[in-house]
Amino acid sequence: MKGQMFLIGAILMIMGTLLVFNVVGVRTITEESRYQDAKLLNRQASNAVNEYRYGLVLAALQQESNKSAADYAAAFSSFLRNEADSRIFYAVAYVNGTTQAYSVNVGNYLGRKINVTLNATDSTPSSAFAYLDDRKNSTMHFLSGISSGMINLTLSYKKGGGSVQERFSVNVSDKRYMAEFVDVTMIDTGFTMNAKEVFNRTW
Amino acid sequence: MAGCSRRRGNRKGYIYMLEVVIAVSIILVFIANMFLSAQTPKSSSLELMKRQGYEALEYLDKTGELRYLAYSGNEVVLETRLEELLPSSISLDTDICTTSCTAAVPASVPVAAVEYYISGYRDAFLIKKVKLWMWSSF
Repeated sequence: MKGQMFLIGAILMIMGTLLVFNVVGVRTITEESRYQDAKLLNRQASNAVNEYRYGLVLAALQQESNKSAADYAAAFSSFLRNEADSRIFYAVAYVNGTTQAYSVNVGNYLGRKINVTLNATDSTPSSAFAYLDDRKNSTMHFLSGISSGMINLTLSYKKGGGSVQERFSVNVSDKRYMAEFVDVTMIDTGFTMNAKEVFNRTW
Repeated sequence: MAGCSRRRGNRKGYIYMLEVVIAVSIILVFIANMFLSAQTPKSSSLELMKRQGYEALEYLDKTGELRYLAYSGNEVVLETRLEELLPSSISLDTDICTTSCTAAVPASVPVAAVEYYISGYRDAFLIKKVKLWMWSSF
């Protein structure tokens, strides 16, 4: 009987190890898979944000930079929305450098109608409001109260279940200036990844 | 009589020893096989492939090649460059497209796909999607 005990012991050990290995192994692979998917989605969100930046740089090269910037942002947002089911909000501010007027184009690709409020320091009007349908954009016009310096813009909009407030600045001077704020949410099966960024260009 | 029972006792000892050797061998063979298969978990190889493919596209974007290739629509050069960057065990197909992207991918093996967006080249605004499909050659 002594020898058989070793064989029975071996079989029990194998069964035990197999059980533990399968439980641990499956969990590790699932975690790894989710981690890799999340990392990939994060990279895609960064890729999208970088392409908005590229669009702003391209717009600065065009004759009507403000119109081009708004058109490019709208076209790229529409594309991302169609192809990747992304949720996007953007704002493109343009200072023309000759007059003290500046404009802010806001675009809603968040999937539903939203209210957008824009408050601006040293400006007339000091705030503007837009009620935007999904996949629509609107331009708000302001007059700067300063001939040079920074104007702070505060954007408020609804996203998901909550309210979002973001700040960015425009530089009023004798040069042309554009600033863009983008909020991109990439969606994949089971999770989402959000990327926000502000970038600007002076020329 | 005493010699006979000692011989029987020795034979028993051999059988015990043989059974112990068999038991230890079974355990060793089993553990060796288990850890060999653990080194290549099949269900995560697609994720790994996706990561490698996306990193290759990112690299080509950073060198400026991807933007130009997307602008010119040159899928042949793109595939050649990706084949140079990715392991030889990965077969691939690409499409530079805007909306509906297509590729000749095998139906019998799991296929990983990644997408990379391009919004311009030099002073031209364009909307392109570079889609890369990958699968294991083996």
